[in-house]
Amino acid sequence: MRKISFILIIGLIAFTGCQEEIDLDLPATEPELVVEGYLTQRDYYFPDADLNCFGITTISLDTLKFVTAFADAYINIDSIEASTDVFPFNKVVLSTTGDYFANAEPPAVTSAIAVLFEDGNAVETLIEDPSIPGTYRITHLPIVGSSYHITIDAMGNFYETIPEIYGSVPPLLSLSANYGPNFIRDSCAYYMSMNTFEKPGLGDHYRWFFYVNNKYVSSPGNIALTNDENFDGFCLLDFDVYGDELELGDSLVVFQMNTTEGYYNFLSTLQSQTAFVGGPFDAPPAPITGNVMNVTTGKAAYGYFAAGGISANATTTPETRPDPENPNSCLE
Amino acid sequence: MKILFLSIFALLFTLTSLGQDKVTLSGYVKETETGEGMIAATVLVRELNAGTVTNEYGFYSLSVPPGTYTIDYSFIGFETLSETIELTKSITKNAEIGFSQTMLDEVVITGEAEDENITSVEMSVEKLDIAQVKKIPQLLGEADIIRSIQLLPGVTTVGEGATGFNVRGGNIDQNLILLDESPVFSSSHLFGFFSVFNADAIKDVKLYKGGIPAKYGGRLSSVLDIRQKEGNLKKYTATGGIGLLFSRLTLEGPIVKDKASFIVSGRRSYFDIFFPLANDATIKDSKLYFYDLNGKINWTINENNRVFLAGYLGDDVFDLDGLFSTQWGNRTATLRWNHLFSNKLFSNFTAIYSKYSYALGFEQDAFGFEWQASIENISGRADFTYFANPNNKVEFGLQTTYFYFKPGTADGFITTGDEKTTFDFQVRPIPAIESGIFISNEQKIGTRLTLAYGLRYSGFAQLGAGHVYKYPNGEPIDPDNPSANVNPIDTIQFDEWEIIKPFQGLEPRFSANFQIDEVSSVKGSYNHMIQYIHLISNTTAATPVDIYMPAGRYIKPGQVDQVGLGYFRNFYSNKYESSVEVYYKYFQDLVDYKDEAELLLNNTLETELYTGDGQAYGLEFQLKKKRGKFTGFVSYTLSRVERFVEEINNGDPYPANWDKTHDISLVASYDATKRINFSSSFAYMTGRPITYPQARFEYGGVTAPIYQNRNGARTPAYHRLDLASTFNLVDPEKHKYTIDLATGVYNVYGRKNPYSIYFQQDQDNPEITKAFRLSIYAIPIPYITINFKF
Repeated sequence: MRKISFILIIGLIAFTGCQEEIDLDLPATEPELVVEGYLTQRDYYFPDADLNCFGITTISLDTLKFVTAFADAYINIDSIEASTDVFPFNKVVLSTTGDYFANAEPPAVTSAIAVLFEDGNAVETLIEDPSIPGTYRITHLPIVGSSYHITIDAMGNFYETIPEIYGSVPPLLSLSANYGPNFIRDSCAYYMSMNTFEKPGLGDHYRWFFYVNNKYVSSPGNIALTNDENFDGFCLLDFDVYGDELELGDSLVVFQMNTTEGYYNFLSTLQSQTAFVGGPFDAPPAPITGNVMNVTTGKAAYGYFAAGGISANATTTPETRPDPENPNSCLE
Repeated sequence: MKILFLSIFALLFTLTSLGQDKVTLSGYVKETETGEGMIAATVLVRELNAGTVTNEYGFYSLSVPPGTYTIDYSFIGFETLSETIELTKSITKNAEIGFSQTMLDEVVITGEAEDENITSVEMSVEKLDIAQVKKIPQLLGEADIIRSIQLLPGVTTVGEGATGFNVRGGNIDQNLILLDESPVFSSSHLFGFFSVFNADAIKDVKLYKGGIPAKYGGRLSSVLDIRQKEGNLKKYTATGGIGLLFSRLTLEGPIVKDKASFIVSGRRSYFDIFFPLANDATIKDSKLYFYDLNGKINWTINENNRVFLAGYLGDDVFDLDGLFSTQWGNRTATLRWNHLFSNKLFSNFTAIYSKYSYALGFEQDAFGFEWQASIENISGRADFTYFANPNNKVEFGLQTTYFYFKPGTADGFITTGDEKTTFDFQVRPIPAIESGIFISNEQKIGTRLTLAYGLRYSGFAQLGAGHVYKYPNGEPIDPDNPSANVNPIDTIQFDEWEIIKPFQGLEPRFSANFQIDEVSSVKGSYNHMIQYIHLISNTTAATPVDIYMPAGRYIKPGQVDQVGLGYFRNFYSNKYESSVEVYYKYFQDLVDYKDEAELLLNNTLETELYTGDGQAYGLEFQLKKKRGKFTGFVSYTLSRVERFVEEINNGDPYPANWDKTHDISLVASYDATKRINFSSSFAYMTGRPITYPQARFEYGGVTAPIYQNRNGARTPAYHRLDLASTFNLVDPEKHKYTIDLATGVYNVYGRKNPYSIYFQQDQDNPEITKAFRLSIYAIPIPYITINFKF
């Protein structure tokens, strides 16, 4: 809605308005802890052939896990992490806030004591990765339906996250690159097309992560989210949650994560406060509140510790267009 | 309620008794050229030095002792008509007055009677003269009532491209905009770039910022009372303009000479006229336009009965070849019957229909979605004016309005393979009823003091059929964790017409004028207002597709108390008028929003809303030059608008988006010759409040701002100069028609006024964060228009 209004207004002012960078003085601030953590399973359902969700939507996810035909489809985290630049799962990354125009990588918080809790019981003290300062690895395997939170002793303060209930995720049944028109149908390109299904029962939330040519896509406009308000239990075919054009020969890996409502709200705010800004009809600036509390001061810290199941799939864009002579042929 | 009725009858009885030994002179004052009734013309009994002014329909009534009197009918810029009348019994006397021959050489800014600013008990009232509005340089040369209002003291806007206007710290939904008594919910076309009122069809514009009379209710901050022309009763005329991006045409004339007339006026933009020339198939089949259609029929049945039928139809349409579309528009219809029960009792019975509807659509091969919302009302009212004697004018009446709010319906589809699945969603439509009864008296005490006091009793009820949700602890907001989502635990069903939640309240109104001498006066006013419907909008500037919600089980009506004090002084035989006013307003129960509130298609909207208070105070100064070749005005406002919401900004006060500390306007018009006019307009205002980040954090490769102090900073100041000229292509003294060439430039020196300042990470390197300024109309925008009148 805000995005659409923005398109309209931009269209109207295109010939008379302007946007330009300006210099501002903003005050210096004290650093505070920022948490980015994901707890998920070690193996991801990663089908090696395209599947169709019709006919399997009545099978519960727990049952699906034991269908022998799909057994080969699980792959281990290590095989993916090694080939990507950023792989956030089963880690907690600690950093600090900085001045708005600091224009430097945020300092890592090292030598913290981070403890993972399952249903209120401590199950693992996270070990800091000696090769990546500020990164603490999780090895504990989560259980669907259990709650997870972490505590952190760092920077002279004690922090705690609000518990997350770990939920399962449907498989990403197929992923391909479809050739088609862009939004206003004035050119053609390859776009992501995925098939999946939505878990029956209202209240589910999802996030997708993208790797293009093994590079993590981190721009705020590419934070892809949905809830199931209008899709509850649907078989979702030809879905494009990535949105951008794919280049010829691009490889695309997509992770589909089940998220809690809290994490969905956090990401939604993060996106609207970073991607959809500046327009007359955008939401006003608002705090991006995560689930991290500074228990010592009683104030909110920053970031989010999320827990949820993940599935994945991959595809590669063809090396040529279907009709190289006529890039607008999809208009026909 | 009984007490109120008894008070009305007791007051009328008393005032009637006081007038027993007098005779009454009454009638209409009309304009010679058109036969239309004149609003606020002065009727003076010279021998008694007593008089009155005509009402909105041109009617007047004076009760005086029997005798022979010289009556002066006058209006600034018009010849005074003096007649000697022997009053032995009550009589009806209509008068027609025409433009002053002696004043033809100089421009006179009209709109009110001479000295009315000093003698009238009204304060905080702005009257716009349409001829003057047409001379103010405007964007693309389109005479614009709403943009002209924004130049007046006490009126601000969030910025270019913002719908509506803000009066003395009120939000845009706190303005009661009446077009021939019918409410208009959106006053803007194209997101606030142009107003919906076609100046060619408008006769009179009056803005009440304070001291609001008891006959008006339902909004907190202002009443913008716009009257359409009634149509020329004497001859047929055509008025219009041809511009680069819009054209307009108004036709008016008698149906039966001096008895019945009509006016029809249309305006359409044609931004999209060049779309079919585009190579792109999508652009070729797209639409982007707005239009207005005004019409009115006026029929004088006899001396005691007149009937008016007025209508307005307007839409904004944008359709990107079906891929994306939006539309919004107002429809209003008013049927009025003026009836004279006696020469002292004037009545006006009105039936009103109004609908504001808006829609958004989005359609691609795999997914489509259409959202619609509307607010519809049917209203009836009866207003009476009892001219008891020259010292007392009593107004009383009642009104009731049936609302039908449709906060949103959505229909959509998803195509999966060859299968198309449809879905729909509807936020429960809400019927409601609002009623009001009022009485007021304008009383002159001696020669210097005039009082206007009144009382309005209003009530509102949200009605079934439908249901409301029950929440844990009975409230949709968790007091321990206000930002948390709260889910309903149960529903309560209501039958059709069953009252879901009633509200009522007394709204006292008071104004006083102490005339120090012939050229100066001091005025004071107080009003309490209640508003039962809220605009739900959480964007920096409201959009035309924001929804309205009525007060109900969880949303309280807003209330305001306002006091004002003013000093008014005229100079040089009323050539110059000046005023200084101060005001203070305290708002209660305004709605505000959770961060990132979901406002569309939300059946539990109350879980997204906070309730808070606010205050606004300020000083307004105005100096007008009303006569001569050089006319214009200077306005200055010093003000502050704050909100207090416990759950926002740690409970600390924060300035509203439209809080502008300093607001200065200079408007000047110069008639170089009888055929050439130059005009200019300059506006300066403090930048609007904005929230700057305190710090930043990085999450998932995104560098995000940390906001804490809401609206704690300001954008740089806004200022803009516009110039215009009008050249009569034919000599008006030699021809019965006029053709004018209007040219001008908006934003002459290309000031890049910041609409907003926003913060974003660099696209290539998220470690680098930057501040950007967005400016709308950052370059000079010229225009040329041909205007004509036959």
